[in-house]
Parts: sequence; structure tokens; C-alpha cells
Amino acid sequence: MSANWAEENLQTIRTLMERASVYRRALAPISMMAGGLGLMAAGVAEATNASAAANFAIYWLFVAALTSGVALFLMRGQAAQAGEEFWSPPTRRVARAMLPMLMAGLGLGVLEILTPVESRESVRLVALWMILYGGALHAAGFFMRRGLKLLGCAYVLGGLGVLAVHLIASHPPLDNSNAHWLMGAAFGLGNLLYGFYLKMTVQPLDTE
Amino acid sequence: MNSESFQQLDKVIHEKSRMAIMSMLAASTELSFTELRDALNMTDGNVTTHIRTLQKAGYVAVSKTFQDNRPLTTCTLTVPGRKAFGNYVALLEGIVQQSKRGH
Repeated sequence: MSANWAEENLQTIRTLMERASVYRRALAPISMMAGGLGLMAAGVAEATNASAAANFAIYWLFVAALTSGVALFLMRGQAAQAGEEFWSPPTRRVARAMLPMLMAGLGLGVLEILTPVESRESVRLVALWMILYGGALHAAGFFMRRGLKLLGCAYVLGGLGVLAVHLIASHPPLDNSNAHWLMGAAFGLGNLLYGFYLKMTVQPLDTE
Repeated sequence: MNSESFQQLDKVIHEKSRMAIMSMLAASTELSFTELRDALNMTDGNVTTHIRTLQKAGYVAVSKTFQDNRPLTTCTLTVPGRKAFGNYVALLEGIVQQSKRGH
């Protein structure tokens, strides 16, 4: 018995502990699907000339629900393919970590719907959603690899930037008429680019 | 490594497979039987045997539920199990430190 043996055992313990706490579903297809749906939804909203302020929150809450449903379906498929249960402890941990921020986003959306149309500010809502989504991703990042915490921080900073410009600028460059495109850029393009990044930098372990 | 330190190592944990199971459980609130089996590349029989040993020592609690009409066995570390694992790791760290001081 030697100190090397003890060190090797400690290293094994660290590796196993890290592996146990990591969520192992492939994020690339989920992220690309979410991004694609986000961009498509922004395009549809613009093409149909939907009034941003009147239906903005309800429209994007519907898109979020649809995206979540498809994401769960993809995750279930991945779990079935791997012969693992879908609602596994790591999945539960990720869901629990994200839930408070996502519920806060839902709450803000509902509040916006309850606000009189003339007082609604879609750009402000997008900024707040970006901050909350960033917080949710950052929290989930503690159970995943591949830069999810950084992406979360980028959303928080982006959301703060949009909010600052919207509140401080005397003539804000974005208003309710640009809000759908802002959603498409933030959530559609953002997720799509992250999905491509994961795809291009795939690692041997299925943790992308 | 002196023999005194070795004698202090918990013999229940001080076995490759059981140490691996304890390590994984220490990092999460709970893990399913299949997750442990797949992550550690062990057979069903092996996992069952080692979990039973850990259960007898009071280090692991096993619960059986149903999910999608299929049985789901989940394992968690008990409070004494977490304490014993902490002591085991501390002892290993002590051995490494002792060796570094010796050089």
C-alpha cells in the first residue's frame, strides 16, 4: 500500500462523483430545435402582422409551451434509446434547478396579459425573460457541462443590456413593433447558435 | 502508508465496486439501480450484491416505486453512510498529505 494508491483512489472518487452529478442527455438537437422554432415563430408573427403589444405575451407563452413539449418529447426519445428512464434523478435535478426562474417568466407573461394593452411594453418583457432564462440556464449548468453556465450569463447580460437601452435611451431603438424579431434573435438565434456550437465541438461522453 | 491508517479504513467501503457506488451516491441525492449499473459498467448481480452489503451496514437506503408501470429501484446514502464516506475520504487525504510531508 502506498500514497500513490490513496491518490489514485481519491482521483477515482472525484471522477465518479462528477459523473454522477452530470445530466447526460444530448443538448445539441434540443437547442437547435428550440432555436429553429423560435426563429420560425418570430417570422410567422411578423408575416401575419400580429400586433406586438396586444398578443405578444400570449403568443410567446404558447411558443414556449410548444417548444418545451417538443423538447420533452426529444429527451424522452433519447432516454428510451439509451434504455434509461426518462424522469431520472439527474433530469429531476435539472428540472428543479430551472423551475423557479421559468415559473417567474411565466408569471411575468401572465402579468403582461393582465395589463391594459396601452401600458404593455413588449421589449421590457423580452429583456426580463432573457434575464430569467439566463438564470435558469445558469442554474441547470451546475448539473451539465459544455458552457451552459456561460450561456446563462450571456442571456442575463444581454437582457440587462436590452433593458438598460430601453429604459435609459431617450429614443429607444427598439419598440413594440420590433419585439417579435427581438424574441427571434434572442431565443431563436441564441439557441440555434448554441446548438451548432455543441454539434461542432462534440465530446466523447454524451454530455453535449 | 503506515498500517495504522490502513486499519482505520472502513472495510465495507474499501472495496473497488462499493467505493464506486458510494462515490456516485455521495454526489447526488439519489440514483436509480440502472444508472448505477450502467455508469459503473457492472452486472445486475454485482450491483445487487454490493448494494445489499452497503444496506446491511446501514450506509445505503433502497426504495422501490413504479414509473410508467415499470418498477424503479432508487438508492440513496443514509446519514451514517455519508458520514462514513466522508471519514473514508478524509483518511485517504490524510495518507496523501502524510506522504507529501515525508518527502
